[in-house]
Amino acid sequence: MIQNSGRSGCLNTEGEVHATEVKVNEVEFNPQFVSRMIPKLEWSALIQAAEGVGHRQDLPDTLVSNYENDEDFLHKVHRVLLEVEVIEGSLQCPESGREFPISKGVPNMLLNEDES
Amino acid sequence: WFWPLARIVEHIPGRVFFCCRAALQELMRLKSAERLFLLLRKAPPTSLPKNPGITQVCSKVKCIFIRTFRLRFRLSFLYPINDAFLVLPPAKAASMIQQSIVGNPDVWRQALSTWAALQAELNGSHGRGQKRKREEEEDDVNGIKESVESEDACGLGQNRPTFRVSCRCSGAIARCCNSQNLSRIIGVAISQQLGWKADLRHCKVILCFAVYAVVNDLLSFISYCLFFDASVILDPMCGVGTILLEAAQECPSAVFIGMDSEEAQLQKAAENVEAAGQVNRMLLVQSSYIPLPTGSVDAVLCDVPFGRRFSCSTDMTSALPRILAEMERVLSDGGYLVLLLSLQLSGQIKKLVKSNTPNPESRAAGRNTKSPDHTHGVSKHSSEPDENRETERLKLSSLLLQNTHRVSLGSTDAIIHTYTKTHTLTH
Repeated sequence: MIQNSGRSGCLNTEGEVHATEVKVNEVEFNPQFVSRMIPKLEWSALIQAAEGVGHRQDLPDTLVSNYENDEDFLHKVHRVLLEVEVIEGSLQCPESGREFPISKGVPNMLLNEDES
Repeated sequence: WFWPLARIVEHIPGRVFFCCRAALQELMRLKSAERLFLLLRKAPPTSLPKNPGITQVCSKVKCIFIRTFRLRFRLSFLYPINDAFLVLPPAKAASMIQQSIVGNPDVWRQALSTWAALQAELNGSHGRGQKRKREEEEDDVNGIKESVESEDACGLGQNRPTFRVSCRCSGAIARCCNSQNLSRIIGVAISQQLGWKADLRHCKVILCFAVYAVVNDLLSFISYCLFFDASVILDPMCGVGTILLEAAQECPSAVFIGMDSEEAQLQKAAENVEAAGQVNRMLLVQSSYIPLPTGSVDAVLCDVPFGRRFSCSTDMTSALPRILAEMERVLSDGGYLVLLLSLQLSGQIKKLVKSNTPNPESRAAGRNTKSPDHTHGVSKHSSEPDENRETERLKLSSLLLQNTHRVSLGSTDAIIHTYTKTHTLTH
């Protein structure tokens, strides 16, 4: 899920995630790692992606301050960031509407000759 | 007269390796040899480790041998150091050496007793009187008093001899390591771990170390990303994911992104990732560019495919500036870019990126107006020369070359380039 937080194939805007198959793995929780990752994320993109795969878990629209000490919050972010995996689905670029398929967990962002 | 008794094992220019049963005294009479080395121990050849880690930067002492030095014997050690050692911060380097140099204490004890036995035998038959007068004087000047009476040799049965370390660095190591420093570090390790007593002025045995750099494996360049807190590491041409998986071993707290344009490669990569149990930390994306936001990645590691076609209409040399620009874009400030390149690509890149090292050949990217001449052949992606020149000038100007390092890949050589990103350009 990390990729979906603030990335797109066209410009740096949020992409919509559609998932037909989602897998939730169990990953060892490392609060320091999650804290370090949060500033690197585009929060709104993460929320949108989380919602798209049905794992928003009542995460807030905007990032609250002092999240480093909120273990509950970090756990939720950990889940969405590292545990939820889109196996089959697609990423949609909001600018162009172009859909990029996700198959077996691997998104295909290849552009056609005329697109790049 | 000597050779019928000896079996020659190997010879290289300047050296003959042989086995023989001759008595020590006969060996010492060899006039054709300037120095005689007795090999006590040779570590097995270092096979390329599957997962070279930072712990393998300093391998064990490779050879221990006794060599003659004007009728005395010296315990000598060949100590290879992985080339990744060259970029370690000094404190870390010191601790690495201290941890790994001693190894098995029994080996050292055996070497010491062999040395002592030889010493006793040699001086027992020659006696101190036969030592040349000049040598005695030299010894006194250097403050070395090597005790050669037999009772002292027996005294070594305590296995706590007084010693001193003499260290000689060669090659790349010599440029960045102070041999006195190294001597001290080794000395501390030996006294701490073997209990021998370091004594610079009066020592029974002098331990001579020859330290040289060994290029281990093409994957040793991963060590570069160990010194800073990289959270996100990208390989934009990951193939089957070899480099990423190696890096995952070294950086337990990072997350990895692998990209490749070939589906078959990525499928294999996915299998490898699963087999390594790293599914939780690896992200694979099929792409020919880098669909990530600017400044989102802490490190980019890439083994740039030498002959591979980049996409169906461009080859690597034409696509290189654009690939580099993308890598530069996604790197965060202070991030590292480490590339493994063919000699040809290395030369090409050097012209595009400014260097931190004094190199009269390198030019700042901003002044590079030769861009149309660089591309070999016409490519669809650079069809507008004006736009190209404009972007060439903007591109790559926040990358700074820190280091280049030549490695051998067996039949060919390659060069590792390390860059840092200095500031984010606003386009």
